[in-house]
Amino acid sequence: MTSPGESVTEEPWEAEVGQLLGGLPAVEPPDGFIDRVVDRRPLNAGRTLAALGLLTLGLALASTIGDAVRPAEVVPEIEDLVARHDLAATVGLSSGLAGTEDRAELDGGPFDLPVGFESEGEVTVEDVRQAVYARDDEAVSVFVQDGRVDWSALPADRLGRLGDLRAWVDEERAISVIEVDGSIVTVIGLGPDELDEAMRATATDEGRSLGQRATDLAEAVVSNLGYAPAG
Amino acid sequence: MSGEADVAVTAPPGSRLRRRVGRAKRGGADGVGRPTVPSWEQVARSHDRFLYSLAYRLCGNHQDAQDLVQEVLLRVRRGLHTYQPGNLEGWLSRITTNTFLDQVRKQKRRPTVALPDEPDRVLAGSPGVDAEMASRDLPDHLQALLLDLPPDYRVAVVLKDVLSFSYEEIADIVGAPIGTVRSRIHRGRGRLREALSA
Repeated sequence: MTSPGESVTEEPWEAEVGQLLGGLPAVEPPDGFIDRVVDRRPLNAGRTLAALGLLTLGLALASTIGDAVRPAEVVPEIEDLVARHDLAATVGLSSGLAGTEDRAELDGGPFDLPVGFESEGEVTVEDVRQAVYARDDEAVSVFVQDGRVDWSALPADRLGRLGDLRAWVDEERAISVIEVDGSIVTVIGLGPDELDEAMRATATDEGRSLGQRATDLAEAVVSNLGYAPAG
Repeated sequence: MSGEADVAVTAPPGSRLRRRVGRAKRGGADGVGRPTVPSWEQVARSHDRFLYSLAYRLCGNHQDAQDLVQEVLLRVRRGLHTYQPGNLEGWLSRITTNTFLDQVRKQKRRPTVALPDEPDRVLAGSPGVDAEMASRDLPDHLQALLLDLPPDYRVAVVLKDVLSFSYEEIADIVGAPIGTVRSRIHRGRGRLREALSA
């Protein structure tokens, strides 16, 4: 098959090799393989979490009617953010897969990532901004969205603190959620050690506490991604 | 007439994988003809043969092919909301080849030996044995030779000659200029030709 505009000249031997390869038969997956993959998908947990999240979000929104000055409580859609991170890490931000992407280069990073990370760009999908940084085949995504974290809707066994900040941390998948000044910051792709390293690098005063550095980090993220702190 | 066209014309009817497993199984359309996005399960079930064949041709053995397809379907599930109806096979191929190349890069950092299902078919290095295999079982022999290609060449050759993607489509799938794609295919075919004639 030749696409319009393609002008391809191939040697006869190339056509012969191509024809040989074209004769390779399709390979059937083993019996029941796809069934096992489909049945084993980790979607149920995600659906449960999403449903719980939506329910809680609904309750939270209902409880805050009339409270216009406070940002709404939001449950970060962790699995969606992980999907966006994986996709960016796999096929890149400029893949053209998502029509809602609004790609723009960042000037510098939201904070000082470990050595070697470089900005890949930024996209906004459904009001959640994603900045991506890459080092070799590693990728880090920093998501920022308006709102306050509805901590009660996140799995309680991963709730904790990042310095002085309340945080939800999934160490295994390198996911951290923090909140600052009316914005929710979710970092994916940095383990606790590297995140700590990033915060230390961001700190201007080594004597400051981890919590202060975390606050600096979050404020820097929010500031660099164009989110003004809520009044 | 280009050699490319010759290949398409002279290939045995129905020998192209994509023609057999792809076209009839694409996503449907809504009531006004707009293409619709299939569900993850629909993608998994309707393109299982396509994905598995691509994975097997890249990996050369069933265990790695299964691992690759599982990882691809996981990424498909997570990223399906970003898919814009159109060339689903191209989108799946992009995810599959990127995932495959990611795994290759990781394996380089943690070297392991991925054996084919029938290791003797690949590990045998003498020309005499290769020649015997070529005459005895050409598909297996070709598959073994594919595994000797550098991963970038293998991806390009498989997409072109096994799945019949156009150069333009392959360039989009692998994110490389068409010239680079042509070069990889040309060199990959050249290596296969040398191996076949050895």
